[in-house]
Amino acid sequence: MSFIKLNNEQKMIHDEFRKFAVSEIEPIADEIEKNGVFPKTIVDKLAELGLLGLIIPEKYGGVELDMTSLCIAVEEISKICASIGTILVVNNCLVAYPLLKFGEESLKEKYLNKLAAGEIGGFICQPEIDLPEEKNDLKIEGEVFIFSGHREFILNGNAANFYIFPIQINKTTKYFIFDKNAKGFFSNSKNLLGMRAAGFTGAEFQDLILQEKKCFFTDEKNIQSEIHNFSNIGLSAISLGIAQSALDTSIKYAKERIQFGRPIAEFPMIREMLTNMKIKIETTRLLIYDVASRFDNNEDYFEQSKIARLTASETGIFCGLNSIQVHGGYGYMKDYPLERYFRDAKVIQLLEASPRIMREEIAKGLLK
Amino acid sequence: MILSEQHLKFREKIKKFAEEVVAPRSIELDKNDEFPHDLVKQMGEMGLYGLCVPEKYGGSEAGALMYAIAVEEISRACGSTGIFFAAHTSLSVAPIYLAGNEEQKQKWLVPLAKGEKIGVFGLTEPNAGSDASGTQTTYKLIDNEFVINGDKCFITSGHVADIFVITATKDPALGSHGISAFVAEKDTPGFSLGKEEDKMGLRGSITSELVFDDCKIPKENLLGKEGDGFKIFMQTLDGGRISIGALALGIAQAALDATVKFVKSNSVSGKLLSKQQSIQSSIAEIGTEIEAARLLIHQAAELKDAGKPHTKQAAMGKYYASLIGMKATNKAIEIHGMLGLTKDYLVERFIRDEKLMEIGEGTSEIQKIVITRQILGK
Repeated sequence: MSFIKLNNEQKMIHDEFRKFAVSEIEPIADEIEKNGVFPKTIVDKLAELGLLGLIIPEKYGGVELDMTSLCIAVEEISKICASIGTILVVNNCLVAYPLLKFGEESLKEKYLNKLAAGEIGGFICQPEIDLPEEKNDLKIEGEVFIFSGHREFILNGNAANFYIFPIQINKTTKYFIFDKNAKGFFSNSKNLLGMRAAGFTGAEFQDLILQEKKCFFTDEKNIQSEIHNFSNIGLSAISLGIAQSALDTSIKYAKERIQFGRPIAEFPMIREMLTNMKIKIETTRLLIYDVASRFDNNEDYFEQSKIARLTASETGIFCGLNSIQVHGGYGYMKDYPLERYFRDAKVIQLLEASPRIMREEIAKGLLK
Repeated sequence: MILSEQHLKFREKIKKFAEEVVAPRSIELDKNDEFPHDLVKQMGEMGLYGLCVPEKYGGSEAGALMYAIAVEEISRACGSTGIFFAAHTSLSVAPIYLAGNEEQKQKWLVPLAKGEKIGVFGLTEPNAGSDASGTQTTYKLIDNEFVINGDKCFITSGHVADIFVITATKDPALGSHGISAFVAEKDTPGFSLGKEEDKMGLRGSITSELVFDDCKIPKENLLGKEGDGFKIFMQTLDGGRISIGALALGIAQAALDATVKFVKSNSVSGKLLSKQQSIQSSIAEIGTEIEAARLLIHQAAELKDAGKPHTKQAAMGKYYASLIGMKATNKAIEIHGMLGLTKDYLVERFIRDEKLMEIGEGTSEIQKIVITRQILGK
């Protein structure tokens, strides 16, 4: 008996996203990755079908899905194109969710409606290492904050109409929103190892004015970890989708490829690779859908989301690399999607997360 | 194992060249899919392709250990340049030295060892990868000429090469006994270059398809005797594995170097990353594994230099160096965080380059079979 039981709505979501991914995304997945193009037409189609604002409540124009459904949708999309999976997760988990959870009603009405209608929101990642002062300079003048400096990574950067900008001020973090046309904001394109169609950018800021009234959340008790822990769930589902595709592609190849007079699927070392991939995938799937259902049932999920994320990202990388290995020389070539699976999986591991810090947080929880 | 003064001096010389000349080129080679003709020429002038052949054939006979050191240092600066170097030397210079007659050596080995010509090794075929004895490219002796038909794939440097060491079978039904080795030259009628592969990494190296369509090569281009082909390429690959191991090792070392630099110059919340115990722990692991891999590879090279069997050690060196190399490059990116995914740091290239070392010249699975055979006996 399976532990994960999908209800009819969740089954429908699965089928719908599967169909969309196969018919609309698959034909262009290689091309958009190769050219590093943001898949605007796909995103527009998702918006038309009302599938962009997945977790946004109906009263703001969204579909109001539960987290389990979001994971199903993201997994299905990411099986075909992890970049589009990432766009979905950033829009829902890193942009819509903080607004929904912490925003004032007026901001919610404005921005959640925009997101549900198909606009893209960007999320500015906080620096992972200490920056020199000139690259991270915030002046406070009454109700106005003026920022100059540098940010290395903006998720959904090149298609966003507005941005969520967390800035650390002393021990607190303020979450501002600013418009893409804001004066003093200069974004630049970013070429990463993978996720090349996800529209990542970086940015320079010169006297960008951030208004207190557009700060929707001042995190004084360090509960920003809630945003991280929540987004961990969605980001894990991307890794899972990649891993599943890596396994599916490898199984197919292992059955077809003949060496030493028989399909390589008959060789124990190949079978072991496939088996190891499967074991990791199933472990990951249980963790992800467990944490999603904890969230859906209003249970504590913080620690589980970190465990799911760490496991999922390692599974993604493991399956990506092993799928290349099963394919041998062909796996290393861009004619096959395996090397893309690996590159995307490696990016997802580090996106808005540090495995080291997540592990430290788990240890802290264990020892408190 | 302690390197001699002579080997240490040689390492310093190659390291200096690699750091000053090769490393600065490595970024654009990867970015622009550019083949390093300039570096290829300079390495030839330095005598790097002749390290394992005697002076009378244009080499220095410095030995396999010197060669392993050179491959490691060049690859530490640039994997693409490393794979060219390793393939040219281990897979074209070596088999001609190993199996060629005097006339063949003068004709092909000398210019290859001096770097005046570029050589490749055509073994792999679309349907004969790990199963190299399953070669489907055929030859027939007609009027004192060998007529070759078939396709070779994943051939390093094919599109820029002059001299092609290839294998073909008299009859696929004969298995490994039917295989012979030949030398084909660039402009031979019936021989053409197929597509150039678009790869995950090693983007400054060329990977080619070779097409033989009633390609006629002179009878005197046979290497060794008819039927010797399998033996020749097995011996060739023993030496080749030392160099792929050294290549994997060089990239792993480069990943450690980059990580050390990163953690010593960046802080989080005012604390240097190098002072974080979890990072120190990773660095200790990677550092230890790199040293262990180096010992295995040097041991294989020393055995080869002593004229002793080295099949097991060469396979172990390649298997282990590529295994720990993947771990080292993967961990290096993780320690860099998202910054490690950008082209501003080198670690994202290292992992793309390193992955081939678990595949090329025998996958890790094939290495395990070779190692097991040596341990268990036949």
